[in-house]
Amino acid sequence: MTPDAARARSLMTRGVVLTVLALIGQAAVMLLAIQFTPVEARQGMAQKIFYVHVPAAVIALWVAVPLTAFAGLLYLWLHDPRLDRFAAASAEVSTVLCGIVLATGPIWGKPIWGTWWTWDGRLTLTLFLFFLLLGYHTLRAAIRDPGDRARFSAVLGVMGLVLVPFIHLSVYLWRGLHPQPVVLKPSAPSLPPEMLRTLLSGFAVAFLLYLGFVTLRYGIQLARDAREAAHAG
Amino acid sequence: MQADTTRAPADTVALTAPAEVPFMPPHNGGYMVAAYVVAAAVYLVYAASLILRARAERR
Repeated sequence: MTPDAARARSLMTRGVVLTVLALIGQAAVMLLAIQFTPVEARQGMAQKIFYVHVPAAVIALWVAVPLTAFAGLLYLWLHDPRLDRFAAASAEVSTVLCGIVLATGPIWGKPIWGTWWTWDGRLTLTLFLFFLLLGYHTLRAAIRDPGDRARFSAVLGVMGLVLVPFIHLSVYLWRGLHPQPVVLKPSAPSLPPEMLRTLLSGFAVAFLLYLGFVTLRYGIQLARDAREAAHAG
Repeated sequence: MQADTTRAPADTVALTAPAEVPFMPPHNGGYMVAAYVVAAAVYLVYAASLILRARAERR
């Protein structure tokens, strides 16, 4: 077994452990939200969607997409295949998190706004980011040469980062229906302590899910690359 | 003679609840359950796909 194949095995094992722990954590956060977090008086139980929706959005926008872009930028400079592998893994997890955001948001919007979807600035830009991430994967699948694939997808990954500040500021710039931030804002979080505790647990678990998924995905790609290198050699 | 519009007729009820009746949140728990099921399904399916891909690479 080559050193890369051995490292891939170790990463995949670590990724599976982290992912399983994070999934258990996610179930615990849902239980915490349903059973031990107060019901918001005006929105009712639908407000509890917040504890799944917001952590997925924050980790996607402030961790996954920026790390995809930074890894892509560094790849363009250093041409290290590890950076491309990491960027591809992070982009795939960003797509999953964005999908969760776009699926749970409308389920909250229907009882609270009375509509599943509105072309509000934040919603629309998040949908654009999701399409851009789908484009990223399509591009990677379409290019055979590893160098070209890494270079072109790195550029597209950076484009995703450009959307992030607009998505964050959209609620101030266009004042649509989407609520303004209650935690990620210059002043103190405007949430009761019990709700804040559940939300922070949600952030921790979403971050752990990101780590588990990326470790596992990176390990799979490393194993694939090691296998292809062994066949070529 | 004009009708007194400042007083409600005797056969009507107040639209606002008296202060001692607690405010009841809306019953919309089904939406929360739906969102949690969707999120759990997406996470589980993605995790399963990664684990299956990892298993295939191990062989």
